[in-house]
Amino acid sequence: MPALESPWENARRELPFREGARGFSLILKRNCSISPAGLACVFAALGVAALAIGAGFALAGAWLILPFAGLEVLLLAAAFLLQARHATDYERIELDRGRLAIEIAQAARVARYELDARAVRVESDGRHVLLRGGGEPLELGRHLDDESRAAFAAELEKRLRV
Amino acid sequence: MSAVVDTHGHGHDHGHEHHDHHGGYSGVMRWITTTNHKDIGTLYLWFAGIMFFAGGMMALVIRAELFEPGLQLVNPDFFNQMTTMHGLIMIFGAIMPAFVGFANWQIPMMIGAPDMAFARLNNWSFWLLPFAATLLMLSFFTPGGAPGTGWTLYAPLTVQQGIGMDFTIFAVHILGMSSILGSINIITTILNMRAPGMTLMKMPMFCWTWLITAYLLVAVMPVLAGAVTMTLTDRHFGTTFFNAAGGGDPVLYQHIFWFFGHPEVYVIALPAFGVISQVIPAFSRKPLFGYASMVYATAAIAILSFIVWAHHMYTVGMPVTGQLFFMYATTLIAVPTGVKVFNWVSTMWKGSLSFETPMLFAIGFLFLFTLGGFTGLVLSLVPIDIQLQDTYYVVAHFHYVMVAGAMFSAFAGIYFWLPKWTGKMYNETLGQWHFWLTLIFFNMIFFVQHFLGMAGMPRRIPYYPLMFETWNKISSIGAFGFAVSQLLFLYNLFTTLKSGAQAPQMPWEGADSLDWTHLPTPVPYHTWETPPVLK
Amino acid sequence: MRGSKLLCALGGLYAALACSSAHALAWYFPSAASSMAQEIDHLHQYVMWLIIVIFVGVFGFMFYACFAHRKSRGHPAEQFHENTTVEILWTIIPALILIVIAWPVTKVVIAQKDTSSPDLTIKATGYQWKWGYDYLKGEGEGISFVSMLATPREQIDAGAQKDENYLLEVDRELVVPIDKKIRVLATAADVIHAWWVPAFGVKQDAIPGFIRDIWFRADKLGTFRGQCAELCGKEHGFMPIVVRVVSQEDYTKWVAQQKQAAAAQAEDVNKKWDPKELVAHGEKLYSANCVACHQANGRGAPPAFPPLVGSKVVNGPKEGHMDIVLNGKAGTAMAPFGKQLSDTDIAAVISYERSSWGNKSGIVQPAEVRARHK
Repeated sequence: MPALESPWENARRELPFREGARGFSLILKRNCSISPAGLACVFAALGVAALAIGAGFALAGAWLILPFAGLEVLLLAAAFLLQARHATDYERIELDRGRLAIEIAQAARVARYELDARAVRVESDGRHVLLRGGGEPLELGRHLDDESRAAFAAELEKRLRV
Repeated sequence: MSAVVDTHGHGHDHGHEHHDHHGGYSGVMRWITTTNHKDIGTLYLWFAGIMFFAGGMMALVIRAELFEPGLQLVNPDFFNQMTTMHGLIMIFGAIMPAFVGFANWQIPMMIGAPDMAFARLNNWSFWLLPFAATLLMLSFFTPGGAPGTGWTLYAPLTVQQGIGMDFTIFAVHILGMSSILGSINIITTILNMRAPGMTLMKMPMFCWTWLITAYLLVAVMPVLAGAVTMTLTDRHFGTTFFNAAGGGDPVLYQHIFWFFGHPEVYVIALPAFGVISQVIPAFSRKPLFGYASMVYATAAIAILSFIVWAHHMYTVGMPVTGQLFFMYATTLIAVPTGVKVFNWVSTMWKGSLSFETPMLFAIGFLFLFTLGGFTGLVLSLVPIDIQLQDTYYVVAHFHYVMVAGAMFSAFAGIYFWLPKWTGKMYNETLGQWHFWLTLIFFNMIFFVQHFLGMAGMPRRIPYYPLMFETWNKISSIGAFGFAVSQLLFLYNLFTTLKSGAQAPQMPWEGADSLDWTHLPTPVPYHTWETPPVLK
Repeated sequence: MRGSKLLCALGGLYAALACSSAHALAWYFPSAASSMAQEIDHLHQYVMWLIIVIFVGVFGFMFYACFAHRKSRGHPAEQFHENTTVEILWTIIPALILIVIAWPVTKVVIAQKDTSSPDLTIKATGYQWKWGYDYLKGEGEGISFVSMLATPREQIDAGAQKDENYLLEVDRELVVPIDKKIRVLATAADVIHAWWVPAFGVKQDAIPGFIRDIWFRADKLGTFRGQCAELCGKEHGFMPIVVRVVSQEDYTKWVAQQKQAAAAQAEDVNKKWDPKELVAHGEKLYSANCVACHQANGRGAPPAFPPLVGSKVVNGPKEGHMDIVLNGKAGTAMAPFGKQLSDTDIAAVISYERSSWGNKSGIVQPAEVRARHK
C-alpha cells in the first residue's frame, strides 16, 4: 500500500517469547515512550516556567496570576502521576522445568507467583486472560489489545501443555 | 464529517467486530459523550468553522460601516463591540480550536497511538468551548452590550464597561481552561504514546510544532486568567491593580496581557507552520529540508516569544534601554523564522511539484506570511513603530499573519486531510477557485490597509477623515468578495461530505507520515490499537 | 531611495483607476514637518529597500522552482534533505543584516527619547473625548484650554456635506512657535488616550495617573493634524489633535491675546447673569461637552449614559447636581468637569440642563459654583 519507501510496518502479531533451554520467558509491557524520570523532567520544565512567571508578576504587584499558575501545576502533576504510575507496569512469565514463575508489576507493587505448570489452566473470554489452578486466578495480558490477547491465550495454553 | 466515522473496521488488521464503536450512544448523545480522538477532532473543527463564520459576519459589519467616512449602519459604541468580539471570536473561537481539531485527528495517527492520553478529559476540553462561546454571545444582550474595549481588554477602559464585560471575562476563563486541558493532553500523548521506534526526532513536524505550542500554552494561560481576574476584581471588589489612583498602574495590565499575548501569537502560528511542513513535502514529493534545524528554529521562536512582549507597547513611554532591548530581541525572531522559510523553499527546490488545492494554500501561506513577517520587522523598529503604532498598518500586518498565515494553513490542512478522514475527494476545480478568490480578495482587503496606516488612519475608529475614503472602499469591497468566496468553500465541503467521489488510498503520492502510509483510506474509527514498529 | 513609495505608487495607480474619489490618495507618511519625522521616513525607506531585495530574492527561487521543477514538466524529485553549510549560512547572514538595520535605528531611538532642555513645555491631558492643554514652562506659561472636535454632528451622523478637514478640526488649536524644542507631557484623566501628530513623528500614550514625555521641533509653518491613537471608548474617533505652527512674532502676539482673554473671563464669575443668557451659553457648551453621551434630547443611552430628562440629580437639589458635574462619577464615563471648564461655564451647563426638555428646577449662578468648587 505505501507509495513511498517507509521504514515502518504494522506491528507483527508474534508475541515476544524467548526460548530457553528448559522452557521460555516472556515479558509483556505497556507501550510507554517516556520513562517516569523523563516525565518528571518535563513536569519540572513546565511547572518551573509557569510558577516563575507567576512569581515574577507577583513581585510586580499582580499577585493574582500565581494562584492560577499553582492550580495549573497541580492539574499537571495529577495528570502526569496518573500516566507515570502505570508506565512501568509489566508481566513476566517464565517457564523453567515445569515451574511457572509469574511476576506482575502494577503501579508501585510487584507480585510474584510460583505455580506448577501442569496444574494451571488458561481461560479466556476475549477481554481477560485468566490463569486458574494455583489458588486465586491470575489475570494476564493486560497490556495487549484484544486480538493479541486471544493469540496470547492460545499460545500460552499450547506452550504449557508441551 | 459524521459519515466518516461510521465506516469502520475494514482495515486489513482492524476488524474488531466486538467493539462498541460509538460508546453505546447514537445521535446527539454520541457526540456529547464521545471520547474518540477523531470524533473530538471533528467537533473542534465544526466549532471552529461556525465561529469563523460568526466572527466573519462581525468583520463584515465593520467593513460595511467603514465603506463611507460617516455614519451609515451602526453607532460608534456598537462598532467598538464588533471589533472586540471579532478579535476574541476569531482568535479563541476559530483559529485556536481549528488547530486543536487538527491535533486531535492527526497526532495520534501520526505517532501511532490509539487515542489521546486522557480521552475523557479530551471530551471535557471540547465541551467547555460551546459554553464559553454562548457566554460571549450573550454579552451582546446585556445592558450596555458587549465590551467595546478591543480584544486586548485594556484597563482602565474595562472598568467603564457594562455587565457584558463580566460575561466576557468568564468566557475567557473557560476558554483558557479548555486550552490548558487540551495542552496537557497533547503533551502527554506526544511524550508517552509514541509507537516503539518513533523517537522525538522522527516525529512528523506537525507533532513537534504542537508539542512546543502546548508548552507555550501551559506557560502563559495562567497569565491571561490572572489578567482578566484582576480586571474583574478592579471592577467589582475594590482592588486597584490597574488604577493609578489606588497605587496601581494601567500599563501593568499591558505588560501582563502582552506577556500572554505574544506567545499566543506563536500558539496560533506554530501549528500553522506544522501543517505547512506536512503539505509542502507531500506535493514536492521530497522530504522536508532541514528537519533538525526546523525543530530548533521552532523552539527558538518559542523561547524568544517570552522576551519580546513590550514591542506592542513602544508608545507607553518606556525607558530607552527597555525600548532597545525589546527591539533587538524582536528583530532576532527574524532569524529562526527566516530559517523556516528558507527550509520550505528548499524543500520545493528540485522536487517534483504539483499544485493541488492544499499546495496552493501552502504556497499562498508562504508568500503572504513572509510578507506579514517583513511588515513585522518594520514594526519592530521603535522609531517607525512610533509612527505606525495603533494604525491600520498594524491591522494589515497581523491579518497577514493571522489570515494569510493561520487561516490559509487551516484551509491547506482541511483540503489535505479531508480525503484521508472521510474517504471522499473534494472537487478540485472548486477548491482552486476558492484559493484564487480568497487570495485576491484577501489582498484587496488588507494590502491597501498598509497605505491607510502609513497615511495616518488610526485603528478602531468608526468614521474617518475624507482622505482615507478610497482605500477603505476598496478594502470593504474586498471583504464582501472574501465572504462570498468562503461560501464556495462551504458548498464544496458539504457536497464532498454528501456525495463526494471516493478518494483513492493515496490521493497525495508524496505524503509520508504513518497515517498516510499505514492506515486505510478512509481511516477506521479505531486506529493503532497495536502500535506500528520501526523495521 | 524612494523604493517603498514606488511600490505603493503601483497600488495607488490601480486604485486611482478603480475609484474616482475627489480626494488625493494618501498612501504614504504625510510630508514631514520635523527632522524626526524625516528620520523616520528615511529609516522606513532604508528598511523597505532591504526587504524588497530579500523578498524578491527568496520568492524568485520559489517561483522558479514552481515553474522549472513541476511534475507536469516531468521533473524528477531529488531526495536531498539537508546541507549544513547552507543552513549555517542562512542563519548567520540574516543576523548580520539585522545588525546593519539596528545601527542607524538605535541612533534615532536615542535621539527620540532625549527630552532635555526644551524651549517650551506643554501638558496634554486626554479626556473622554477631548484634549486639555496647559502651557507649563516657557513663553506662554499659564495658558490653559480645552481643545475639542469642531466638526458639526450633522456631518458625522446626518450625511451633510463634509468639510475638507472633517473629523480633523478643533475649536481651539494648540499653537507652538517654529524651530523651538517643544516638550509634551502626556497624561489622561480617565482612560488611556494617545497624543499623535504624524507630521512631527511623535506619538505618546496618555496614561491616567502617569506623566510621560516626548518632544518635537517643528520646522514648517502651517497646521498639522492627527487623531487620538488609543481606543478610549465610544468617541475615540472624535478627539483630533490640531497643532498650528507659527513664527516667533505671531506666537508672542497669540500669547498676549490669550492672557487678555483669561483675565476677562476671571471677572465674569462674580457677575450675576441673566437666566436667558446663561441658558443660551449653556446650550452651546452642552452640545460641545455633553451631547456625545447624554444626547441632544437629554435622553442619554441607558444604562451606560443615563438620561437627564426627569433625572433625580437634575431635578433635585442644586448642590448634588453641581457636585456630579464638578467631580464626575467614579467608574463611569462621567468626567470631573471642574478641571476642564470654568465655573461660569459649569453654571451655564447646569442651568441649561435644569431648564430644558421639561426639566424646571431653576438656574444656578456662577458664584454658587465657585462657592461649591473646592
